[in-house]
Amino acid sequence: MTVRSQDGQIILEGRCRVEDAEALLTALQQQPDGVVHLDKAETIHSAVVQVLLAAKPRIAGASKHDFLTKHGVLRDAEGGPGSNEVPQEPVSPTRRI
Amino acid sequence: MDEFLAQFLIEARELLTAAAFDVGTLRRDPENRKRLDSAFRAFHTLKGSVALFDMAPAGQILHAAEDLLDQARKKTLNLDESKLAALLACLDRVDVWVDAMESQGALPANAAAEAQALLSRLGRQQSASVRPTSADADWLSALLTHDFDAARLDAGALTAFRYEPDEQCFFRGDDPLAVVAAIPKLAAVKVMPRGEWPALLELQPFSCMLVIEGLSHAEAPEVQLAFRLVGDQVKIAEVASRTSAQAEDIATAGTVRSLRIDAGRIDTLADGVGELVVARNALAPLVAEATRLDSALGARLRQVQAAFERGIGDMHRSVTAMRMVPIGPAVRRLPRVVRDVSEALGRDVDFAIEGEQVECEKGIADAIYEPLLHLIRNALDHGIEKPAARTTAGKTPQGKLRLRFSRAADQLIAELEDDGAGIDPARVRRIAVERGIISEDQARALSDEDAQALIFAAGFSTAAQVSDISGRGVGMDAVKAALDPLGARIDVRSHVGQGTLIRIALPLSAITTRMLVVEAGLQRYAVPFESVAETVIVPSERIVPLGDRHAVVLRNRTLPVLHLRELLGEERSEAQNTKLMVTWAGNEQVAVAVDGFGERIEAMIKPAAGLLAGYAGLSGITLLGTGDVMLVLDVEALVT
Repeated sequence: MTVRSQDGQIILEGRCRVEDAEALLTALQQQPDGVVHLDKAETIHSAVVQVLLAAKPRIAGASKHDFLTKHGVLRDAEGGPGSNEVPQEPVSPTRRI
Repeated sequence: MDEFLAQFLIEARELLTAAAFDVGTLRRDPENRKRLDSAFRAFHTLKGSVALFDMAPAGQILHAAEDLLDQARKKTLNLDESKLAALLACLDRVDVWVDAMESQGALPANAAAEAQALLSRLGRQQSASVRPTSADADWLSALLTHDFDAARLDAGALTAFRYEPDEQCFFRGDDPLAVVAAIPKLAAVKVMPRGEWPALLELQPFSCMLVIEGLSHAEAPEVQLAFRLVGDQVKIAEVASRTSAQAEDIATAGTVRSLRIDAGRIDTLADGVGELVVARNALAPLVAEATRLDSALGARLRQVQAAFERGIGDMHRSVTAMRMVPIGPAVRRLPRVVRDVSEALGRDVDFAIEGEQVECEKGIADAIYEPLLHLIRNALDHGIEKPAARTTAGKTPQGKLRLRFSRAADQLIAELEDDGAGIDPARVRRIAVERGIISEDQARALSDEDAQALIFAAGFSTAAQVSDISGRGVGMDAVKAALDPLGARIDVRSHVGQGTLIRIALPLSAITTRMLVVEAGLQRYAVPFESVAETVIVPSERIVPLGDRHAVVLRNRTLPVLHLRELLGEERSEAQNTKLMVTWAGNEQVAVAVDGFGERIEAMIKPAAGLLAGYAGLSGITLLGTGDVMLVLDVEALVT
């Protein structure tokens, strides 16, 4: 089993194969706010990447999968829900002259 | 004129010239990759620039032409002669439309119809079926412009790919990202969904909806190899030269600083420098006078004068250099004319211009276009035979016409050579006599070369029938009339049955002219140095009457002697010695007696205006440092 899920943490380990896509999807459907840990993943199948890209969970750690890291393939998936919101700039008080 | 339009007119014409040169080279050297890439860039840039104006038909044909060249670059299409001819036709048409934008501010009414005709010549329909969608190009440009800054990647080979794995690929055991990871020299990758990502509950984990695009520094065949098992799901495009071209542009922008300046401003500057030169001329006599009065002051003044001379000399040279332009742009329309005219006349002609980079003064470059145009029309009409006649004469059906520019010392040499029928001296003699240009006796006395040169005589036209092309009511004398004021010499060399070479030698620059001041009576006149062969002083008794004229023997040659005073309508004077200025009348030398030789000056000759304008012996006026006006004599016109 390469997808483990506990206390809102979803951990990918070792070689993540095509069949792990379903397990990851199920885990993310059950815990939409779950944080996905990639640091123990060695390779990640395209089907698993697809789930990550579609679900955009918060991601912790970089995978050992050089290709994905180097080209920032999962960059779009990082940040988790709310990452699309524009952060509020602190508004400075208008200076009157 | 709208500033954008003015800029466009300049740039579009430059691009048209560049593209025509590239396509012309490709016709002779189809394997020239550099020219192919350059042509592609020129068409591409041109397409972009016409898009700013209401020139949709131009955009369409340029787009089609660009596609054609792009396919040739990818080696999916062979640019045969008909395709290259279509590309030239496309450039010619856009050239006409650019002219129309300048004169009418809009394309001619038939532009759309003409564009349709050209599109079919460019094989638009066919290319549309070869390339399934135009979205093909869209993904590439989006990739390069929005997703990756291609210019920032290393120059060199760059291959773009778009991989759309089919939905069932996971079931077949494919791992698309693993395939992409195996591409050599991968530079950038972008993974996106086909369409929008669905809500998480609706996601089918085993149905692939990924699209992967990227760039690799590997050559296209290497990238193709990596995708060999999924080739049907992949599009590959070479962007190598586009990127290196961008890198090139960036490099050029960094090193060459250039400024586009209105030619009129340079002319004003040149006039100013010309006036300075004139002022300098006035300094010499003043310094001489000061030296007589106070030699110490004179010596100091001479130092200042020398510094002044050097400074003005440098400035004069830089302004002259500034006004130097390559001849190419001035004659860029000639290939189009040759194509149009040879088509109209049923000639098959291979025309090329050599030495387009030779520089001369802008005014000379502009002035030479019309005479060359006329000479070329004449060569096509009367020189190069129709294909059938050429075959009968044992020549190739295709005629050859070459226009060569070169530089010899201070002269620009333009040579127009054809391998046509040549000029028949016997026929020229007969026609010249018929038209009363020369007498029969004169005709017999003429050498063949001199007879051939008669084609430039006023009132001569050898056209058996006046055609639309060269017979526009003016003969070749118009060529001579246009070139003479530029100080040009025209030579003709022609062999019957073999062809004709016309050689024009022009001064490269015409800002200031070196002149000799001569005296006649109380007046002083300037004579350009180029019309003075030598000056001599001889005892008056050596000038002997010869019939009703006078002659002098100089170095065993007998020269006719004319008196400048008489030529100017005054009484001639007698003195112990006679000062002679030897000059030319045609190819003959003539000695002109003057009352005295003055200083040598370097000054601008301005055209004579008003009452003086019509006077044949006058080539213009020049302003002296004193503010006085001096008349510049056209000695050749005076003595003939």
